[in-house]
Amino acid sequence: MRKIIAVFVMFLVVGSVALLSACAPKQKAPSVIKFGSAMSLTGKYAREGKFYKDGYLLWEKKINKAGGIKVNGKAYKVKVIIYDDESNPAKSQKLYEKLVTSDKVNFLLGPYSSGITIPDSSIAERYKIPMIEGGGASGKIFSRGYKYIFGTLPAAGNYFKNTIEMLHMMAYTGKNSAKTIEVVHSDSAFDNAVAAGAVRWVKAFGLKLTGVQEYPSGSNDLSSVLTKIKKSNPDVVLVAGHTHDALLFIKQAKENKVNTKLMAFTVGVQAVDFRQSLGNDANYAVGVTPWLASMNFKGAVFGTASEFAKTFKAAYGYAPDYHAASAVAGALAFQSAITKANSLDPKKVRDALASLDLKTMYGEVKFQANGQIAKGQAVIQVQNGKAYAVFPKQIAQKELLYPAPSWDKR
Amino acid sequence: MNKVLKYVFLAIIAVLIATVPLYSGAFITRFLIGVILYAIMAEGWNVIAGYTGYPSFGNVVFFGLGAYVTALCMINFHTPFILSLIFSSIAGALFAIIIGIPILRLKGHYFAIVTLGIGETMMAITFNVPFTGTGAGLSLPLASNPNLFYYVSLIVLVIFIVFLKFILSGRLGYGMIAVREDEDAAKMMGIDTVAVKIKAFAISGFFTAIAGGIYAYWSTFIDPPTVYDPVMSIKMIIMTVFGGAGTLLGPVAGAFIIIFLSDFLSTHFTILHTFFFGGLIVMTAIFLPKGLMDVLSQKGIGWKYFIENIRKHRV
Repeated sequence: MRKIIAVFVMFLVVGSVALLSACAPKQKAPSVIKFGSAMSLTGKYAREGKFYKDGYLLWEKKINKAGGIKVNGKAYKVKVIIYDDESNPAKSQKLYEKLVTSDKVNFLLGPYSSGITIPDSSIAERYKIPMIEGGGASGKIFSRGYKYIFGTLPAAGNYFKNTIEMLHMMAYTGKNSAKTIEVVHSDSAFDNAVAAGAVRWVKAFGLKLTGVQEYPSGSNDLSSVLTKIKKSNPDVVLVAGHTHDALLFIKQAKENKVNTKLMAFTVGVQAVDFRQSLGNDANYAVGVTPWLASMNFKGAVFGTASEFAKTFKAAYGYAPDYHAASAVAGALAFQSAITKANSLDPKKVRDALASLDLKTMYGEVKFQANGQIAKGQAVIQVQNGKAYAVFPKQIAQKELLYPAPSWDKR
Repeated sequence: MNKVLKYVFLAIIAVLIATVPLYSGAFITRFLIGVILYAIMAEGWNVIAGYTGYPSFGNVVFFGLGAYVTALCMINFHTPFILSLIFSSIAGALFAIIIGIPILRLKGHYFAIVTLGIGETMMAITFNVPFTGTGAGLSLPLASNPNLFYYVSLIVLVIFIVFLKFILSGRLGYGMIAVREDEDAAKMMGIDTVAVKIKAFAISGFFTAIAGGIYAYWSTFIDPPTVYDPVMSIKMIIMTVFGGAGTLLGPVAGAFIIIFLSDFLSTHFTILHTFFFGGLIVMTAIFLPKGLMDVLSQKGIGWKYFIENIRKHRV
């Protein structure tokens, strides 16, 4: 009997919570546009999650200071609700459902990482509420024919496209040519997509592939990978992994005296703390990035890329990398689309997003038909402790230093 | 009179639970689907660990296997969802039998370590076998009606509990408890302990795999780190122990309360919630080592009960 009563009490709790959420006071004539995001604030993506959270909140502050967003002649304040998904996709989906059904947000800002964005995009699609995500680049997010998901990171398959094109051009000019390439990637959803794309581009540009190696995500030892590289001795290694992996790769390459003429990484090289923690060893490392503070992008609200970086640093005490810029670009896209649609109707804003062509401090924000941004990756290189764009020519700040000297000659 | 009241209560509860999606929002429904899936998993862990005394630390392996079987069936052969779940459950039970034959000979922490390894091994295999989509994961179609998952998972949980109640009052149930209390003595009494252990493990795998299959279609995307996440094994254990290991409804209560608290804390304290949640687990382990169901079965709760617990377990 006690147990039965206990179960009954338990059920009353659920029931009352359900009722409360159902009869939550309906907002009368809301003068607030609500944006919602479930971001990884704890767990394995906590580091990147913070960049996005700070980016979203900086935008919120800036917009509200400027008077909010005008729709139909009425100024709306902006509110960004952020929850912690613990880097867990199931939790993230649950929180997006909460944002849509009980917080009644108008629009969704995305989570971080492809593995979490793919399931979350189905919530946006189910409720037909547009989501702009700045943290997932895998083509799988955009290959399901969904209409309500937009992304501000360049396609994963094209991450190394410009790097490989650059190597191809070098081969063409004859001097300092790179001919053989090895691809190394972690086993995550995103890095698989990057590697598959890299292999495709290596072949398309007529370079020689010496091998593709996979290692487990979050691995603390890459020496077996490096031993194989030492054996196949390629001119160039392309590494698709997270920041931790790139750090480990360079440290262990030095320990194992693996000398390649060029090492390129998807994530890491852009970040200031990456270069700080490696010191001199970071030099010559090549990375790709959709954004650097020194690039000549410019747009409304935040001004130029470097002005944005200054504002961001003043607010949070650290310099933003492309994660934060990508987050803000997504929020700016929403702002512009809402103004353009002159409505808060999700369908109308969605259509405005599909035809958007906006200049921002992150570059041009223009979405392809599948929802992913039409944008390339610049190639950057660490030279004397600073990252500079080296390719494509239009935005290059320095010449590529190639080949990198061997570890004992640095 | 008391009895009539009890049935009336039960009937009201049953109707209210069965009709949740009709009167509550989508978020509550999603929350409860999560609770029910974990309740199935925790109950699955309860069968092998709570009743049989073999603490498996890798029960998530059945969840992952079930998720992949359902996903692969639905993607490659376009089998209906329910049929895919049946395939998943069979795969889960078969896998439990195959690995159970060698590893159920181990006892105590040796068994725990091996089960931990099996989860990791299956994750590595899934990462490297091409037809599972490797690390890129598998995408499933969007279900037309999300309430489907509520009804399916609820029915599975009810079947599981009724089935377990039936088992427990029979030969197998007593065999399981005998193995837990003293395996050698059970063997001396003529119980086929090997068969009992394997059957218990197979039941555990059977239902946990169904939970995995439901999850796969529900979330629309699975990849190895998500469905073979060792943290899930730990959660099953925490929920079962919190609710009461070796009790029929303990894991269900544990799953509900743990998920409710975890969600409540994480939406109200965006960063500090892990601290509160961790503290809560530590407190319950100290004050309620036998779980909630044990508290409910006591007549009159006072400080004495908690102090007795601390004394008995020599904290």
